[in-house]
Amino acid sequence: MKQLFKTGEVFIWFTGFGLAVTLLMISGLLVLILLKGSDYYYPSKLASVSTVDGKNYLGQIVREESIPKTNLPDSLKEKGLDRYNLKIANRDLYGLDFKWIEEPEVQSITYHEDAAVIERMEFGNFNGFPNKLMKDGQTILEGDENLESGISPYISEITDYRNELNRLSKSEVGKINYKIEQLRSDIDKIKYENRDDESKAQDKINEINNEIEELNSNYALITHQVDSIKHIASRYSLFVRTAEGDEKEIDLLNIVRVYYPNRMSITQKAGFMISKVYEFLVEDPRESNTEGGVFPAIFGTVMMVILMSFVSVPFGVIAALYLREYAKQGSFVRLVRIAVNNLAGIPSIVFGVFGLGFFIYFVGGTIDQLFYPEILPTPTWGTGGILWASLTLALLTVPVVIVATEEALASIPRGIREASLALGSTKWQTVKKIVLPAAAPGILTGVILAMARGAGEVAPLMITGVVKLAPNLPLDGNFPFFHLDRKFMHLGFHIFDVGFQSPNVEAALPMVYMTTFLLILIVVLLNISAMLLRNRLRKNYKSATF
Amino acid sequence: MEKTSDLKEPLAVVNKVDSDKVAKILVKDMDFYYGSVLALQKVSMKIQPNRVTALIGPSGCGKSTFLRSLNRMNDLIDGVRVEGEIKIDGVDIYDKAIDVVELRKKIGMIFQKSNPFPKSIYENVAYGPRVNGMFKRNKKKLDEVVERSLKQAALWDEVKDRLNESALGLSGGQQQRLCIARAMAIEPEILLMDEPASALDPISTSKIEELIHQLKKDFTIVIVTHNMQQAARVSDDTAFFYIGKLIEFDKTSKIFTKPSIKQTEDYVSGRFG
Repeated sequence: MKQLFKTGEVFIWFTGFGLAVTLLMISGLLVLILLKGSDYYYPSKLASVSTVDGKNYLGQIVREESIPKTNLPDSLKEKGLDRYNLKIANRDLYGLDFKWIEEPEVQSITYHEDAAVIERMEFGNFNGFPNKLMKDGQTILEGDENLESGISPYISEITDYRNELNRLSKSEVGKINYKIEQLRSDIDKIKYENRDDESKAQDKINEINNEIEELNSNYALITHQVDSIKHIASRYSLFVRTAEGDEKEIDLLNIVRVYYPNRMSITQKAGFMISKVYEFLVEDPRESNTEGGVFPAIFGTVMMVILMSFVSVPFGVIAALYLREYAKQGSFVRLVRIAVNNLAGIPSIVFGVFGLGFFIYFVGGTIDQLFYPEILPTPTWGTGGILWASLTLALLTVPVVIVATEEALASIPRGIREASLALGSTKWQTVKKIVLPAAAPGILTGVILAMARGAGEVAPLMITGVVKLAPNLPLDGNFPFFHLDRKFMHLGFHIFDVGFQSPNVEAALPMVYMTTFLLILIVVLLNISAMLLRNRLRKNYKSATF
Repeated sequence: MEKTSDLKEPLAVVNKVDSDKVAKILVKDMDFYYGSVLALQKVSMKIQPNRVTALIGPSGCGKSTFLRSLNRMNDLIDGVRVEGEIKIDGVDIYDKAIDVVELRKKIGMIFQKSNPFPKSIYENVAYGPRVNGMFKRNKKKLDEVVERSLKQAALWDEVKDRLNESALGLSGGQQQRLCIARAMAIEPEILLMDEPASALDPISTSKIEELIHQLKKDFTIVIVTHNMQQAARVSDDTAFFYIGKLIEFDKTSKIFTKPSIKQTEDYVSGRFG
């Protein structure tokens, strides 16, 4: 026994056990998130449930559980009682998406082949039995089979209309709005500049007003276009019978897709899931973020991390270079080093508050006063935006870069520095040509850590520019393309918002899991790409072999 | 014949290398301090051109410190101080007006542990000329220098087909010869070698020693070594250091056959050290 402790075998088991538990926890978490999330994309069967009191429901059984015995009346305690959670959708009819049904209430559960899920732009899904497709009051498709095989061209036609409408109202109207806004602020500026004598500026203002008029007439043209497309599109409507037997008319323009989960084959289901994942990645969110995609949040997250890296990496590397290579090592430098290390441990919300106070109110406020006095008190830069959020995060991550870079620099052997100096190169040449390239893999490790930390941080963003729904991306086709003053969406905040601030939390739950998984995936991807880069660099610097 | 009798403390010093010839490196009354620790005391020495001078002595005797003072490598350490004179070609290298970078261009240095840069073989050799701004727009000339240096270091035949491969893939002996080639590419006048063969196997060592013989005609070589046989084989003059003092400096044949001082004899005969 003593021998066993002496060899340390026990501790090796202990460390191995620790590692195994950790790995298990991490992989368990990932699998749980992925399973829960993909649930959302799996087209589960539609069950027609009729109850004892003569009511009919159509929906997916999302959960089946037994009611805790302590909550049951004595008579049932022995037998127990199950209940089903049914996603009945049809929010516009029932008000709620989900319904709990206790097992004794159920009379029968059947799966009808012709039951369909209709995904809509508004009010969530609709579960029912599609009946007929009408155009201008005339039936063009009727009957279950005809509808199933024949509806897809109409849906894709409608999708084209909708995309066109989207393009017009977002990009075209957006462009005009942007220009008008610019012109209005020009007017404000001219007025402000000539505030003593407005008559001088009147000509210019009139000129600009004319331009605005012109844009407005363009705007009217586009609205007209929008109206006519809407008019054409709204000629189609789908009639659907509900589980209760009522007939409901749904505008085809409001329908994203129709599918019959009860007769889908495995391959169809797989295809369906792929198209849903695709939608998740590239579409904008709809229905207060509980449906659709998260593209703006992905874009915001990645752009913010890149902006952040552009600031924190150069500053961190330069600071570390000075600290390690040039500063005279002494108590002051030691103090600075301790401070930097501590800075890495400060709670992120503190950085957020600092960012709000310094970047937004002080720097942004000053910029507004100097360059945009005409539209005050409406802030331009003196409010949250992607630039301020990125700078705040850069502050947060710069210590990580400094610490990693310093360590990388310290690990460069003295020998090659001396060799370089002995060849008559200056200190700067040595640093630039020998030390920095050799330290690059270590520096990149720091950058990876900083990026991962920055991508996952939410608290400081909430007060420096992240929003629930941003109307525009911070990068678009309007000059000057980068709109760093704009607010943005972020995956981490999206999780918080959809999961905890959403009006329809239960319906949004799978979205939370998927977004979480995506955020982890993005962090992992960022890390992997940086790691590959690091390994490529490291190959050039592998240690000597005798 | 000149005895450095002008030393303040009459040490048991014999310093007998011919002094009528020009000294490439002239050291006079040099004291060297690490902070407040006196590491070298009253060292005086004339090192002649185109000869190999070996510095021997037990560990910690200050021979490496002495070598590193010759190209001011010790400047990199905080708190070092040099008193006395070190003149190279008659110029005091510790003068305030001296540009250290310019000085080091004239002096190549080979270290105990081979230290190639983590770059290709070609880039290693071309590094010196590049940082010194030689052959800036003349790739052909640079190629020639690289080839010449590698040939001088007797490495050309082994690496000519893989100049663009990493220098770290070479063997220990090849790496050390690469370092020699690298030092020679800046066309120095003096080569300082700090135990260049201490980490190498016998074959590599003999190659390096052969090389030192050949290089003698172009360079002034100062070599620190722990290996008495090596000192005897490669050097023309030998200086024996002991506890921060230069004890005896004479022709190598003299030092190893009939040294004038007891301590030298004890050391070279292996009685201590």
